[in-house]
Amino acid sequence: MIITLAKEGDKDAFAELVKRRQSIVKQLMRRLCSNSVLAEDLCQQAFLQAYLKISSLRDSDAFGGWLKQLTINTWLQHCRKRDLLRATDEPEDLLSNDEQPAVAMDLDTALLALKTSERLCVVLSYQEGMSHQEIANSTGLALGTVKSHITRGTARLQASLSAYRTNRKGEPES
Amino acid sequence: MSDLRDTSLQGLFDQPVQIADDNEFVVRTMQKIDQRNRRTLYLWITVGGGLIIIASLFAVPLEIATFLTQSLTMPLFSLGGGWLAWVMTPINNAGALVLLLIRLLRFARPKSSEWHVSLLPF
Repeated sequence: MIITLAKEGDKDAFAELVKRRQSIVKQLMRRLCSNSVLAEDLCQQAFLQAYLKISSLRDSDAFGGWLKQLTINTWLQHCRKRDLLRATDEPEDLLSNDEQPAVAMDLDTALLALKTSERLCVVLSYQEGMSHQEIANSTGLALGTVKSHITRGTARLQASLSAYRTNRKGEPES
Repeated sequence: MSDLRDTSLQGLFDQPVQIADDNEFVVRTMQKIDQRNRRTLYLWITVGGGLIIIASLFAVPLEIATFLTQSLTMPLFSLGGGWLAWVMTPINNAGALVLLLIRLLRFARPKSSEWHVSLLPF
């Protein structure tokens, strides 16, 4: 009902949609972004795109998936603008940082250690529960690339997080 | 390779992330939408205004061109509506007469070298 009203140009209905769906979009964007300010800005961009394109949405029941795709597109657009999807884009290796071996590394921090495209594939797979084929369709990456990104990303995350857990176990209980 | 996921990692991703519904975010998003709508409106007004100015600037030359087109295609002799009128259309108009006059003038005018010769006193 709300989606139908929003499709007809009802701004209050769209505001209600933003209110109801903001947490899903924010959660995905925060996993993908390195900072919350950028994440919020990109979330607003995604909702702006949704507002501009909602009249073209045929099936109101597909709104959730459609909004997710818009969020992914917004992120990809941001990355392309900054040339973040290059294969040579090597992230900072947090594990090789000998000066701060006990760096606190939760999941978000560990995700930041991945390449942008790896992070995108891993988040879409684990957080959004998308299949490899769905990720390939959503991102425009080749299926083989998606698979290798997820394999490598998972291995990197496991390594980062196991080191973090080991460091945490070594710390005295406060 | 299947779509199987690492269970320990999946467990971490499945942990609920506390993102409170933020009314301020809704307000900011709607403000951004309003800003964008306003910008689009201003752009349309600017483009529309620009088109009106261009149209008014070109109105007089366009009127002259229309007048010339109409007057040059006007038939010189009334030949009725039969086949003769249709056949004579390319030459039975003011434009054809003007073209003929220009050709005659160019033909009659001596070439520049001949002018020099004729201007010499000897």
